[in-house]
Amino acid sequence: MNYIGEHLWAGALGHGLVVSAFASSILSALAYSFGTNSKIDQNAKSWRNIGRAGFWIHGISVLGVIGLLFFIMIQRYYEYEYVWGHTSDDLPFQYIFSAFWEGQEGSFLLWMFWNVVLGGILLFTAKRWEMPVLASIAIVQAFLSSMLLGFYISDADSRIGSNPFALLRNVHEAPIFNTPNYLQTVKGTGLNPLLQNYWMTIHPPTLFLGFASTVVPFAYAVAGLWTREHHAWMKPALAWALFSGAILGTGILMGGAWAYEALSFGGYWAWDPVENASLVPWLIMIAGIHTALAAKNTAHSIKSTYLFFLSSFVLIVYSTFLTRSGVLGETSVHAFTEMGLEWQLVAFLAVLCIWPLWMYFSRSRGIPKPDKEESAYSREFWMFVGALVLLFSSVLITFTTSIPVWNKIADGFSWLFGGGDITNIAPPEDEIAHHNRFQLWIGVLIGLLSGASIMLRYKVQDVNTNYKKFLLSHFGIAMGAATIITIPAMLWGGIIAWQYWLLTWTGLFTAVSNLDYIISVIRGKVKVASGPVAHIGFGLLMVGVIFSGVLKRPISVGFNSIEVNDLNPQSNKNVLVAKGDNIAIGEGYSVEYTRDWPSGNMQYFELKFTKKDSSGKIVDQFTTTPNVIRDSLPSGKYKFRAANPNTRHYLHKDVFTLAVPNWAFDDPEKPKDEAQKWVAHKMSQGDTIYTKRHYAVFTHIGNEIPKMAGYTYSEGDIPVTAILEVHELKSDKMWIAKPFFYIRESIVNNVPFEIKELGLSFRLPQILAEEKKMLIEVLDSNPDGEYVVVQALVFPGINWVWLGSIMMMIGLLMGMWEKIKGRRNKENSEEI
Amino acid sequence: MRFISKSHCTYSDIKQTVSYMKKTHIIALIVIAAAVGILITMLGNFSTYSNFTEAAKTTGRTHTVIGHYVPGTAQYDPKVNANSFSFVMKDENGVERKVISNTEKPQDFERSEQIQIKGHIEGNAFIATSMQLKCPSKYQDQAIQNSKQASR
Repeated sequence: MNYIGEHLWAGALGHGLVVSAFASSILSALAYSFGTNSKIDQNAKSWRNIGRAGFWIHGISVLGVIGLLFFIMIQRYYEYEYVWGHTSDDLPFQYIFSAFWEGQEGSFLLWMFWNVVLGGILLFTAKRWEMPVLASIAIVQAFLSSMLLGFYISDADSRIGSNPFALLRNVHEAPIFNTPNYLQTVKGTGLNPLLQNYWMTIHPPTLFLGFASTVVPFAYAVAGLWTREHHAWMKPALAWALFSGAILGTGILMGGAWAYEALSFGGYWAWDPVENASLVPWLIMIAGIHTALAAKNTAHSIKSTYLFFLSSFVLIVYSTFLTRSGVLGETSVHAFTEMGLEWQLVAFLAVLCIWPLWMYFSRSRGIPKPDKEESAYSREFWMFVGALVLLFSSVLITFTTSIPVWNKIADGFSWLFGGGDITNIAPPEDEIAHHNRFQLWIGVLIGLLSGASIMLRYKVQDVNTNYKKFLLSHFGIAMGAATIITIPAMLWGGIIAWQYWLLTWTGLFTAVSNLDYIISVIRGKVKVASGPVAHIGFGLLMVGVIFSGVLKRPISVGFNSIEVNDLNPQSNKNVLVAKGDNIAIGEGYSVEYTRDWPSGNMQYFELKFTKKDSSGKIVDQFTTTPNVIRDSLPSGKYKFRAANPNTRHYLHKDVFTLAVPNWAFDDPEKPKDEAQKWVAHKMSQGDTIYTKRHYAVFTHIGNEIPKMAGYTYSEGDIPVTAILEVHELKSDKMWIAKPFFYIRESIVNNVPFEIKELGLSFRLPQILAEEKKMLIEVLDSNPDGEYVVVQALVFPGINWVWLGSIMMMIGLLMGMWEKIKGRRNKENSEEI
Repeated sequence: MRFISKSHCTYSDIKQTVSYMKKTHIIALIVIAAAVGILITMLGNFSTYSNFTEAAKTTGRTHTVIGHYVPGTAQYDPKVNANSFSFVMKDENGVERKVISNTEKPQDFERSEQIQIKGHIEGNAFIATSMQLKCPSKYQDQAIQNSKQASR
């Protein structure tokens, strides 16, 4: 069949570019590998030139694929499945980016884009490391490109990659494709409304830059093993690791801020498998940064640095497998849906595990280590212990996150036990509590280690009196100050459990100790302050986590669950507020639902919160405007899509508010039972009728000929209008209803009158001349009135979380900056 | 004879090995021991995929049950209680049971393909402390709509 209006050239070109990106990355990887292995300078140079050319072709192909995919999305070529599945005619231009990386193929492309950028930078700056480092990156790119190939092996179920330029009619089967001009009727399905906000524009690129950047320390570690230069690789790798730690950390942080600020989750961290999957590589990267620092200063911990930098990237690939293979399935709210590429991802993961591990074990004998072991009084020893604690934390998180994988593996061995499902482990009932229970103790250990070891010196073998005095006095200052702050803070917050006291105390201990270090040891020298700044950030983050986590509570209380005898106050967090009502909620607050207004596909609700003290004096007053996203259905009803919170910020706390309107709880596809709702009244002038929330007085009969929709006067009409004054039961406002009746050519007609604001309709179907009455019918489409179900949560001390996390990232960036500057200075003065 | 004596392990040999062990190795061993201990504790914390019949047998522990919504049984009246939502769910073995949760009614509940609840049985009802819905993907939905349009 010849279809009309398709733009097939774009798909052909795009697929060609994908194949070219794949082939050129393999060429580049091979050439760079041969170059690295080559003993002869002249040969190495030729191989390097081929590797470079391959990488250039690869980079241009990837950019071409991205540009083309953007082009067909902007042009709305709905014959392409990706365009149809992620855009729609009414999607604003600024969300094209979000739509681009909403799908698996687009987000792989985003990842590849950053790898191309990072590879390009390394091509110019890595100098003698260029060949082995870019060889690794090119291999990774080959795997990523293969995810987009879209080659079918035998049938539709076994394929290599998923082509972003696949045609809609090849992916879906529908009778619509029997018509040549099907494009006339196909409209895009658009972008998930939850993702239509600016966070979706900035969070994925940052996170994917973080993901992509972990490949650089990985590639340097491979290069170190490959060339057996076990020392030299760490310097450039460390600067990149600091970059990676900062960017990946920022990406994760943005995800938390998004969840907190714009989604209805009511928190910034939920230990969701997808969140954990990006946190664990970050923890391992931070561990690697610490052992690399120790290795750089003392030549200890080179082996562990290798392993940390290698595993950070491997864990990124593992997390990709978890989130994209569909294995998480039911355990995560935001895993991608299945793409049918599980085995390809497993192969990717297997190669990335086996190849560096083989390199490591075949060459680890040559890795130098000092004769003397670290002294327990030296900084490097405790840095290593800290790195082990981070590893420990990662193992615990991964163990729980991988539950579906354990089940799959066990199922794979079920033939040993006679077949069938043998395991059925499910994630813990309360995942947040489960992880907190273990990770908070990790926090204590890290707090103590980072606070104490900063005062220790590298390569110290024994303690002399001066060193002892120095340590004791500074530990004393930090412990004393932490105690002095902890006691009033905890009393003010009303936190009793000793565990939280200990946690807050260790957070403050490391913050004070590192501040002390900046002031009295390095005397404010910014050059060496990066570590302490990051540590202070960590300490403040812990304090914020404790305060906002323990003291987080709903003020929107009013109902208690009767059926569920539940003592957890955090779950009784919804109250109903009718429009115009002002109701008292918890902690002296009251909330009033004053008005609402539509804006595009959103509806805003204005909530006025007032807090009074015990004497009735108003102590605080603020207004929030949470909104909901909705679809308008052909039936005129709304379909609820998502609720967006609105948060009132204070310096010491946040009040998070969410409102969900009454219609969101009805099934919009349920047909409405009309007959039941029109209520008939026989009325004479002066009579009053009541609905649930209103009353209407039939005042008189109007004889003017109305100008209204649905009626045009024609000669000989007999018009009658009933005039009703409509009042709200609890307000003074008045509306006038004018249902209209006319006889035209002896046929009775009527035009109903609707007061939209009240949801009331009146009609006058009949005049009962004998009784001298009129039959007036009322439809109350909304007998209970408009209301919203409100959630209002307080997060005390939440700003410490943001301040602390941002300081950590600044510390990492400062470290990176100094490392780059230091390297440049050294290169200028001497080239070793 | 020398060969044999070498393979003998004397007390002083052991002592020497211990003192040769690096502190980092000792710490690593401690970390591994702690990790194993905690991982075993964690196992006890995990719930199990099961069904209503199993959940009724062991009421004391948490079960994760997957099933389907029985149409028309959802009850949520925020005017009475905005924190109480109940419905009848049919598990994978076809056993039906009332499920109560103290949350608001999740959006698109009626159209969910599959529901996963975690909780325990109390009396006749399953008290769900967490609920996850699997909704039909928008793709399928749209494809059906498109084909409807075409057949019109």
